[in-house]
Amino acid sequence: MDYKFFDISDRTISFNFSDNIDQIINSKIVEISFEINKKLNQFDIVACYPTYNSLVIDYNPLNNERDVIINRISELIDNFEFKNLNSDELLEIDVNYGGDYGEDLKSVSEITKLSEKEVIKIHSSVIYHVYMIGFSPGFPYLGGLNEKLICPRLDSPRQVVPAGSVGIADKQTGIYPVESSGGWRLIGRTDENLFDNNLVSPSILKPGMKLKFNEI
Amino acid sequence: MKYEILKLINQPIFSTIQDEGRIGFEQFGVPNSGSGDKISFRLGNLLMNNNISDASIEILYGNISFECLNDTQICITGSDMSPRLNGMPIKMWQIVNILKGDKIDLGSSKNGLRSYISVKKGIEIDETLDSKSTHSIFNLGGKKLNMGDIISSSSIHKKNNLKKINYLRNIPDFNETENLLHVTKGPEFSLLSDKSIKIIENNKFRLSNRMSRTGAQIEGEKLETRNGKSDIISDGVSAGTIQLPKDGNMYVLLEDSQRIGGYARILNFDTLSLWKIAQLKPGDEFKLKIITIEEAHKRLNNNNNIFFKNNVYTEEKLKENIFYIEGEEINVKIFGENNELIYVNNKPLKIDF
Repeated sequence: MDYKFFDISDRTISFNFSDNIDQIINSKIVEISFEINKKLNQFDIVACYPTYNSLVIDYNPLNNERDVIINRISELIDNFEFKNLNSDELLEIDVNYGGDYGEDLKSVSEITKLSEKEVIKIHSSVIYHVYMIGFSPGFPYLGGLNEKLICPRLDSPRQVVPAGSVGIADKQTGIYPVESSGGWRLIGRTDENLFDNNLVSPSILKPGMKLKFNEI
Repeated sequence: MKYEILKLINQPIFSTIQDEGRIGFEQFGVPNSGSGDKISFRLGNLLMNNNISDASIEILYGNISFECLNDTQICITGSDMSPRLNGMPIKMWQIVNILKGDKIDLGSSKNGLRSYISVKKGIEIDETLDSKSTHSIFNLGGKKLNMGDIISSSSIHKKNNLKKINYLRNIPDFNETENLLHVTKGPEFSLLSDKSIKIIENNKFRLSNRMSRTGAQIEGEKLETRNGKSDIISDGVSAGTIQLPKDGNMYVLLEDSQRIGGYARILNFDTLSLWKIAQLKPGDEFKLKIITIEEAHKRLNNNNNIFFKNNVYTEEKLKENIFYIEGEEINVKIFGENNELIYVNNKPLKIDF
């Protein structure tokens, strides 16, 4: 795999694998990230996480020189044997679409020129790929949204988005597992608890997993 | 054991419990949080003979009052909020003995933004994801402190032995010189127009009042990208990252920020400047100086290691490290368990921001 690296800061390096969003490349980055997270001490880095197309490494420049970290991570990437982990793990999530649960379903229907029923049907018939978790604790960036449902973000973000809200923005769909502010268009809500502080791995959804929404 | 030590008797503007931060849960979307001005935070713990990462109270803007519920010791560091004990001024940057029934008041900040109150053995609350740091929006760790809240610690100090008091003889001055903040180039620096780069290099900027522990808007002449685009495929960011959204105003991410962002990452405050910006108040002016990553690392290495390592120190290790800093620019008096003088260094503390 080809990659470039960038310094995000004087203690964070990003290994960038692509200029585009690509599910296969993302899956590989996720696998490398899992492997590094098992051996943080061995690599003597502070933290590691995947994004759409990068592997982000936090390090302590007082413990390790930048070049040493880059060599250590590059060596791992160059010799990595991919096992295609997680590729079959599918989580199905029940969603109440529309009404008070999805206040923006109406505007999505207007923008897409589809009926609310059609929006729900299209949104709940796809198997999505979890690219990364971010924005807020447990928030999955999901890829695979049907192009018919592409909608811009809200002009001004909501101050309070209730926990469990399912939203759409551009080519993405996602779930707000905890209450936060947010600018995505809300089309439904789930009762599923997707973030639990008491778990070692607190986000139920993990990068690389598959997800499907079921209308209830 | 858990001892109640302080009770809040007024409503502070924004005060939280913070430690070194929540590290290792980035892949689950969890922000790092932690104290903003790590130098003042760590010095407070160092003076208390605590672990360097023990949880303390971080007070923004000031105006906070406590009733003491037990005899113990505290240490106040950071911004000068004219602390008083039963109405009498008390020194910062040194251990203060407090007695049950005492009243502690901090006024509004005279310099800087954040004060820290370190307590014996650190504040005792349940950890969330290996950290006591508060993320007030996501309700992680402690919480935003309110009137009536009680602060506990795992140890108290019954003997008022004045000989055992640690202090810092020369305190860091946050407003010593003109605010020159050092930044490294971000991954999207090359998107900036030549005019924008000149603005960054020559102009003065100001911290907006649109600021929180999550981030702050930077006011000044607006910047632009070469192609007018400021959105990127969402990617990694860190505290100190300066993003450039469409409106042309720089926005710096701070300690409670998420670790993924969707705007051009044009610059990043280096670690030392990040801790300095944590003490800037809305309206404070500063200039930017672009340096290389190598220069940023050199600046970090030139200052004392003990403040900057993320490692958790045990007390024994801490003592070793106090020996380790001999010859450096630290001025801390530390006494051992039997009052023996462990370390004295009369060189003034100078942190080269």
